[in-house]
Amino acid sequence: MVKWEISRLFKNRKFKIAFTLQLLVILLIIPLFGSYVRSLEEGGFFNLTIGGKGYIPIGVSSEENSLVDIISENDRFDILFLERERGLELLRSGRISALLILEEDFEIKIRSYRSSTVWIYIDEENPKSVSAYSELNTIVSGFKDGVIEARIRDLSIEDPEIELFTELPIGNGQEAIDQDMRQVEEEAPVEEELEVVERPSSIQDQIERTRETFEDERGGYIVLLVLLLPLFLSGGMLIDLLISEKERRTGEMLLALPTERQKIYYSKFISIGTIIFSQLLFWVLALYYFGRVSNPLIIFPLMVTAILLLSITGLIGIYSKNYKDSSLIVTVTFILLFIMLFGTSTLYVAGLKEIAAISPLSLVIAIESGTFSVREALVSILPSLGFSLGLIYLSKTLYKKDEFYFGPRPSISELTYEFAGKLRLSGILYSPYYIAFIFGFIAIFISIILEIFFGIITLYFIESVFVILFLWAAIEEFSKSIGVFSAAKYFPLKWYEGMLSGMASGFGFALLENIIFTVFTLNIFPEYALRIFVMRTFLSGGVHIVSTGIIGIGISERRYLIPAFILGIMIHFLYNITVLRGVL
Amino acid sequence: MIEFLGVSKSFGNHKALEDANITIEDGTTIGIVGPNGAGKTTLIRLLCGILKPTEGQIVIDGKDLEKYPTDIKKIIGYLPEEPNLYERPKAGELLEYFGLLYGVPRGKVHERIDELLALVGLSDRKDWRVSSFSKGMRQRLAISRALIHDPKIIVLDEPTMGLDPLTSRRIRDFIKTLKKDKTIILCSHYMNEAEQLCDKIAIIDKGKIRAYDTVENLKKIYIKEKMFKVGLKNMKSEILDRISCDEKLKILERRENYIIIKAEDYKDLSYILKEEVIYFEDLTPSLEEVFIELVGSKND
Repeated sequence: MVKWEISRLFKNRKFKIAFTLQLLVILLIIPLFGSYVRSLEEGGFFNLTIGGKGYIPIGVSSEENSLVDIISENDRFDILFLERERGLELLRSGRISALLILEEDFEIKIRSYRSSTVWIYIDEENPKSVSAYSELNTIVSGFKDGVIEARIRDLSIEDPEIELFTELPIGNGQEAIDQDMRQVEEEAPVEEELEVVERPSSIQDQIERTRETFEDERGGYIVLLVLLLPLFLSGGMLIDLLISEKERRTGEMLLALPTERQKIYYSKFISIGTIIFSQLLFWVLALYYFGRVSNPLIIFPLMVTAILLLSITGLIGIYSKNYKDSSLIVTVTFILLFIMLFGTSTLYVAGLKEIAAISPLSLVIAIESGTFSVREALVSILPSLGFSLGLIYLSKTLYKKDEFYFGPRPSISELTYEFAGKLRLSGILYSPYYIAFIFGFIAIFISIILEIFFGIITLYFIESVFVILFLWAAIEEFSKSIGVFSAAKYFPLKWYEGMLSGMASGFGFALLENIIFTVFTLNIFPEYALRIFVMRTFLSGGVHIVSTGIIGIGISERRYLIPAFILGIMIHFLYNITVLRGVL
Repeated sequence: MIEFLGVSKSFGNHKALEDANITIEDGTTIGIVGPNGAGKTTLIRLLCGILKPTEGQIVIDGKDLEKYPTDIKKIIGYLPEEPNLYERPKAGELLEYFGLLYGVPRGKVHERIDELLALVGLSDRKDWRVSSFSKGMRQRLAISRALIHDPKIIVLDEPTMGLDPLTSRRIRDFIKTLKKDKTIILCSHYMNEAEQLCDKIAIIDKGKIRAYDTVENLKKIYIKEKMFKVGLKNMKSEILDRISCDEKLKILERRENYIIIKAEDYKDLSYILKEEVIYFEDLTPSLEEVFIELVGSKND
């Protein structure tokens, strides 16, 4: 069946067009991107460094000094140690992209508080030279800033006068080669002080840090932009495969086949998966061959991302009755997914690596910049893979239900009722509480999405943390109340049953929220994880249970609905403020 | 043998089929008739394992369909109401795909395809894309697909709907040839078709099976009075008077050369037929009248 699906896909005109477009875009990126970068860089207003390990060959006149040590840490440089004359010769012939000449006594001078000069020779006609200059200039500037800072701290003296000569290369050819760039270095007594990474003390520092980190890891970031294209298209293809069978009714014949129903879903998933994996492999190897990717291992996190996308789109395909039905869900999901995937990878580039590590795309950047670890890989891959497997299981379960093909499609509330409404504990039916509890889990995802969306908008227009805290309290309470409303839809609730349902929803919400928090804490401050989990269980958990319990009373006794909501939200809001103020 | 044992199917709150109990003997042809939305298609989808019953059991050859769906589906060939064919592949490719999925050995599948395409008159279209086929050709191709694995049970949902009379007749004739050694379940709107092809008829309405028997028995049970047109050489007044006095008979129409009589049974006319009969016609209502009798009044 998989073979047939793949063969059908390759015969599908829409797929052929999409595939060809992807091929063209990705192949064109290789030459065009270089030209684009070059034009940007020559324009002097923006610069980007592309390419992977050893992409920029440079010559350096001196081996043993702290500046060269730092330059050597940059994987993009392929460093040759040579004399000035030989270096200039290689620069003219294009064998190296830049030549860095240091004074022989550079190390002694900076350690003994004396100035030293650094010359950077480049060939303007060589686009790599401009990139090399940009990279070297950033490193040298950073080195200079570092030694100044170290000197201020260690000697506790006022800011020294800094003499900085920066001339952008002008002219071209031979003339350009003779153009030297002088960076006047300040004295630095202790070398290791340069590497101290401080928490940014101001917004400006944070911006600066972000810029620098971005420059280091933007290569990986750009690779992401390119490779996400086939990933998103593949999601669309899976939806098409699933929904076209419903719309054209061809799926009815598949259901009549002597095969288990879930295998039909799996065959579609696997066929699209096979195609996307082959595509990814091809693109990554091609990009690696042309030097746009430094490590082909990025294929693994990309595959995990593909599985995540396919599992989400597969579920949409199964849940939707037709194309019209799916189009809205797909649009919203793709936007959210794009924000989530790119949001996290942007956080990674911005330096918030511990939080961003949860996205497999962050791992792509980490692999590209050569900074990934096994722990980081596991943190990036396991949650996405686990979530994907959960979605695949859910899709399989729904695909087996007749209603998703023939009958009126059940709502999420009806599905929850079908599942939770019949659960018994010791022979007693606790249905409303089960339903509310399960919706508590769902509520957290709804809340996260709405909080991010409205949070950004509110912050943009009203720069008030209190408004955001109130907004978040309201969003979370409304999300949790869906569980109680759903329970009340199937079971008439007395006030105390409404309260218990609300508490169950709050408990479900708090439980999952705590698990998520604890996972993050384990990654950032492992020693505090248990403490935070316990603290949150009693404080945040308690507040969620109480606030939604009150709202539950309002839902069961409708005359108290609005006062109950106001009270529940206010309790939550007050708790948020106390947390912000550091009282707890 | 196919047994429906208290089978019900619900979609949400809507009961599409309720407590269906029928037994279909091997080698018989069964017609499922009923108005639109009566539950005919639900019943045959349940039989094909496309839908799962909400309640009850479907047992085929002693095996519960829900427990052994794969084994049972192998012996069922299904023709849905719409041909539901993939557009891009060629006719031969499509049949090959379904043949292989139904477990026809790779070495025999092409032979089977040629045989079936010849049977439905599409041999010359084997390498044509399905998208180029007319409605009748699609239906014939879909029949081939349903028969590709030589199933023991054939389920046909409205096989002639929307087809021109010539193609319809061709398909009906084809079904007659299949009747020899297969169990056929035929779902149809056309009473004549069902009456003509089926050994037994199930009349279904609002999700319930209202009647299930042979056509003759259904007529006997549901049509209490029959009508006969009798032309006599001499319309003697004494015979007409006798008929008028007979409680079992009623003259509906009297003309110079013939009379139309309503009777419970043919035998009641015996003394009339002793006279010199020059014309006789049984005007007894068809299956359609049975259908209207059962379904019509309730739907009015």
